[in-house]
Amino acid sequence: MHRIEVVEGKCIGAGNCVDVAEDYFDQGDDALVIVLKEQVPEGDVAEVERAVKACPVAALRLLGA
Amino acid sequence: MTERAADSTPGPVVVIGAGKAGFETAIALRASGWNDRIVLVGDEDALPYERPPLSKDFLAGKMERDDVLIDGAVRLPQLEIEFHRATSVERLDLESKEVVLSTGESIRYSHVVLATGARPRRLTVPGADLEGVVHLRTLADAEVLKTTAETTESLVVIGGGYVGLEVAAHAASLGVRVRVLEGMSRLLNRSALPETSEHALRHHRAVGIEVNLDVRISELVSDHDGRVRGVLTEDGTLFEAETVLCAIGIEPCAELAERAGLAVANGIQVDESLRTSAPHVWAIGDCASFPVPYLRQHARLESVQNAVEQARFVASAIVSGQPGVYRAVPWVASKQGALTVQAAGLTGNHDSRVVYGDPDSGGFSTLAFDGETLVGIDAINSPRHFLAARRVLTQELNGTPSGLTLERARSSDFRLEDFGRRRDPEVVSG
Ligand SMILES: Cc1cc2nc3c(=O)[nH]c(=O)nc-3n(C[C@H](O)[C@H](O)[C@H](O)COP(=O)(O)OP(=O)(O)OC[C@H]3O[C@@H](n4cnc5c(N)ncnc54)[C@H](O)[C@@H]3O)c2cc1C
Ligand code: SF4
Repeated sequence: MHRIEVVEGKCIGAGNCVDVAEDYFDQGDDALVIVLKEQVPEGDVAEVERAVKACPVAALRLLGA
Repeated sequence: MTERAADSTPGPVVVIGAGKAGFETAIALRASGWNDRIVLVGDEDALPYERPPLSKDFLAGKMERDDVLIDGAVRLPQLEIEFHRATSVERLDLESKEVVLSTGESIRYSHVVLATGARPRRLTVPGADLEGVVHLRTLADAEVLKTTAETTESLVVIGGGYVGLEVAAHAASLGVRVRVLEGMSRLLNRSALPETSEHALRHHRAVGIEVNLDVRISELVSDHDGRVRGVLTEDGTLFEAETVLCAIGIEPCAELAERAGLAVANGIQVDESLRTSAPHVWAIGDCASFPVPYLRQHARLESVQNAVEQARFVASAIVSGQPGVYRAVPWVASKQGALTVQAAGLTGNHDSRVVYGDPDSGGFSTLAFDGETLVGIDAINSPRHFLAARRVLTQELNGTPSGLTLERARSSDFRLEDFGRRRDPEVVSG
């Protein structure tokens, strides 16, 4: 299992992560990122990795291998 | 030899300016396999950092200096990117293809990327430089402002743009008496649609921020110690304040380019591939004025999105030797206390607007159309509207009609969320 971590204070509300992986990320009314599911099973790692990479300010990390 | 082959000739790439645009260029060059020297020169005495937190969580004390660094800033040596800190490029010689640094060193380049950003515009009225008058662009500025905001009793913010309103909202939350003075007839005049401005005005007034519009400033007034004491307007009103934040916009840092003989007009002029008027010299980010599809004219954009996407575009153009055409849907978001505004597209040419959702609920959006075509959205506390509209704008930019027309948006059963959806997730996931 991999785990999603948010780096506090960096999110600028781009929504790029939500655009790529709607099952894992959402945004609150303040547009800041909300992680819907922290744990990422092997099958979804590629998708979540793309979402993490799509963030323009590296506010997201995918931990553990 | 063809031009294309000449363009991808290896040799040092010198990136001038180590802000978001410059840093991302250097990283993207290395990531896409540029094997030659990459030199990143920045005149600030700091590792590359993100500016957005400076008016938000850094100001609020939730982030320290190290927390605002751009991810990867400490790995520059490992990536063999030569970073010259607190060093400015003094001269760009197009003839000999050399840049000269403030240290005296000169470097011959194969490509130069100008990412010199912008600096705050300054007031030209008497008293503009008094003690207690602050600006906000750099980490150093933010450190000063943070201490000031914690100790001052009253703050006047000159300029009702994104940065000014973000700081105003923060200071008000600390219990500081805050007044915003705006020269135009509405807040966010340059960047937002009128409905957004109207809502922002009501919101900020409701949380206790005083706002004056159409203000003409004649002078910043000092006490006997030479500290600012207030702002005097042309009609004779004195707004007293211990601290004045001047946030009237930014001007591009284009002197270096201008001295080198490059075309400059409200920023460094580039073509649709982000090339300046000289071969192998590119300009990106806040300092660059490029042909924007939505506006059918040159413009400068000031956002992280623009800095990052232009950086990646230029890095890939340099590595591949094939420039292509830069096209992207611009967007920006601003968090002003409990009010969040997200804007996508560009609305400078719009001729009709449709309000979507209920402004009184606190979350709504305004869609802007040029004829039947959607050209932009302002979403207030409505990230789902923003995302849907951004997808529509991306589709349209790629030449795929989305079906979202002005007529459709005006119909009674219109649901923005039904548009710009990724079609058939089952099919796409392959
Ligand atoms: C307080 C604040 C909040 C913001 N919030 C947001 C936000 O929420 N969302 C958003 O999208 N955008 C936001 N922005 C805008 C965003 O930060 C900028 O658009 C972005 O930083 C532009 O990056 P850049 O690299 O083009 O320019 P800059 O970040 O200005 O970097 C340019 C660098 O080049 C250096 N330089 C200039 N000339 C030379 C020279 N001759 N030699 C060496 N170095 C030189 C400058 O000192 C500077 O360090 C905010 C900006 C500020 C100031
Ligand atoms: S992509 Fe990054 S900045 Fe955008 S919402 Fe997700 S975490 Fe925030």
